[in-house]
Amino acid sequence: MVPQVDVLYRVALSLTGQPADAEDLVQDTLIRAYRAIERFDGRYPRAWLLTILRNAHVNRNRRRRPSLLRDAESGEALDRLAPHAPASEDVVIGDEFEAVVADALAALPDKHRAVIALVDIDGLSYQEAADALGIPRGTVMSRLHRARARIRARLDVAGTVPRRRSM
Amino acid sequence: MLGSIVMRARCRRVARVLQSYLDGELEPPTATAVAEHLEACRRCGLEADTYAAIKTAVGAGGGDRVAVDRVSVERLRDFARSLADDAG
Repeated sequence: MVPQVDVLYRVALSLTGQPADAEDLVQDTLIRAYRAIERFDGRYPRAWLLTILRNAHVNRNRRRRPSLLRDAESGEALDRLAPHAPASEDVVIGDEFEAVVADALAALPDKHRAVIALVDIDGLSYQEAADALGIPRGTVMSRLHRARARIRARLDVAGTVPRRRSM
Repeated sequence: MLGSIVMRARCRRVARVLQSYLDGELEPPTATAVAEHLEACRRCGLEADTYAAIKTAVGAGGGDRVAVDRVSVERLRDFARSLADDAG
């Protein structure tokens, strides 16, 4: 279980948006996991833990802030995900590109931003993101595609698209 | 003429799986076919570059966050170990 703590924390941070809440959520998850460990078949520990984390997250929200369970575009929770670092070696990307991506990311609906954060920042597979959010894998894919298409559309409007180094 | 029709059909097929390709979610034979098309087709190649750049830019935004949170992660690892000790 210890090796999964890193990814659990990163996912919790994406779900809650607050470091303190994320830490509480992972603690809650670990306690639930140890209580249920006799029912765990030993396969796919990350998927199992992500499912527990997701359930713990839903229960905490239900107790504390019911409105967050809806897909309302309420949160600034993931606004801090604005990109800072230099981008890939193959493509020329400037500060303007990063700024447009950051703005577009901030403007996404929460449910789209959550998926893109889990996959692109936390490095989860589609199935793992599906487990973490309690949605089908196909929904992860469609939300991810839609989220990226929205970012892409913003880049088009801003006239900021990357160029290949060669050609 | 026929060549360009075939190429456009390939473009459409590649467009449908491009995101999965960039996320490493395709089976190897399909991924190889997509990679070959992206090399051959400038338009699809640029499209893939754009989405790869978006993915990179989004991912890079999380880098600082992960570094800052090492203390929290260590604290949680200790917590997990203490639970394991209690259970054992």
